[in-house]
Amino acid sequence: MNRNDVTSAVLAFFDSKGGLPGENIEQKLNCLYLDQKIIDSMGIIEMVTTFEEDFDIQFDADLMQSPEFQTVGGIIGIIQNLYKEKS
Amino acid sequence: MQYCPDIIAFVESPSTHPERWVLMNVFTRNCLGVGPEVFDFLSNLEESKTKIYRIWNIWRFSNSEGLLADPSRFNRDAATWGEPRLIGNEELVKLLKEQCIIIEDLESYRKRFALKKSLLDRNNFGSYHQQLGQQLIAIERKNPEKWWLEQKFTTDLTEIRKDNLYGAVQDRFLDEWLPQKIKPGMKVLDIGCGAGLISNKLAKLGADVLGVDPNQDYIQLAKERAVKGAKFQQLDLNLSDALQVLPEATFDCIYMSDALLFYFIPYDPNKPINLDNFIINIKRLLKIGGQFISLEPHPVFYIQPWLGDPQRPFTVCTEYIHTQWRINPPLGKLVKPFLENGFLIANIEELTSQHENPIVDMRASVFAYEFPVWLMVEFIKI
Repeated sequence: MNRNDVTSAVLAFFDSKGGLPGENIEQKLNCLYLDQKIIDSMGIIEMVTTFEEDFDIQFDADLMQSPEFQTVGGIIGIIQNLYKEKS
Repeated sequence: MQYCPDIIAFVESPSTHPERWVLMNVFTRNCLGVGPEVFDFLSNLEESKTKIYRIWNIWRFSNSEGLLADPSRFNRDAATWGEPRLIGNEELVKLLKEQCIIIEDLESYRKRFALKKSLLDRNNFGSYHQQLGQQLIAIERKNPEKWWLEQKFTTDLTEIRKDNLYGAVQDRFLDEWLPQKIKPGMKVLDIGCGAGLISNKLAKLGADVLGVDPNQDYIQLAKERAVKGAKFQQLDLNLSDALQVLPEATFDCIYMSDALLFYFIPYDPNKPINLDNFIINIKRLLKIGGQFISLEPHPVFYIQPWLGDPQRPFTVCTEYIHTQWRINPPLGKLVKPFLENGFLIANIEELTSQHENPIVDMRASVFAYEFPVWLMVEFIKI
């Protein structure tokens, strides 16, 4: 699992929710998906569950409430780190 | 770095653990268990010290165990705190800051008293509902809707729970008071009837009851369990015109419990519900002289922390008019819209417990004996 795989999977999740704003990948990765209401409260649970199952990882409360978790790019980084720690 | 002005300190179990102190921020409900040597540190924040301090991480979101579980947000019995962590100056400062016992500066601390931007926002303290939602959804991964129901009802939704204050205060009150109020043949509307427990209680007293609720599953359950005189109908009460399908001047009494508060303080701050429209509708549905009975969490005492000796508890009230932590409006704000719309107040009851109750947590029961946790108001249509 490399960064591209994680990025594709995360972007695919947000695509299923109507897609991320931005004309290029950088803008999409910087998207504050909650502030921009791409997903709502229950969407957070779906997102967390999806990524935990897909990557066989576990987000703890501190990670979920960290500033990094607020952006799409940040989540990708977190998933990658957790996946590396696991393997 | 300075002291937070919102802190209190007390020994939770003085007879058994006099050296285990609770330092609590009464506004944010953060807290830390500390040994008395921490007060040496607090006595002079600027002085460099090399002491070892005893601390216990005792904060917990106690309401996740139940809306009427101890709302004080810490592990009560100091005997259960276990062995202390021994830490140095640097870590003590970090923990005291995390729990808002000391702060960098007052201005940036006060700015944190804003609504949370999202479920994952840890910086802003947010409202009670937001904190509860964050705890349940983001941390405990529970379904809030299911959690809400479990607070008041047994899991099969056949009874109101007897082992918490819903049973010990609210249900006990209704069992004593409704027979005095409800007369055979009265037409009663139960708004937000759920699975029909109160509707059936009213029907057993001889009333002709219609229970309405937005949840089709509950209405189905209510229909299956309906006693003679009780009928049920699904109505999406979130829609402003939902009650308009019912004929006007039909009911002698409209009953509603634990739901009116959401018209004042919506569960989702971004989704307000129209109170005026609701009042106009219930006025239309009531006969002249008919009564709207509202039984809601008490504007002052519901979910206040329970402090002090269990036999003589007290609380610290940090707000009243401008609600952030509480979940219900102040008394004036609650009644005024009804008075302005042609209702009079016929009666007010503040519901208390019977002091100690063997099947309810003693501190809860004794607290609710002194501080009413529900308020019942009878409004009459004139």
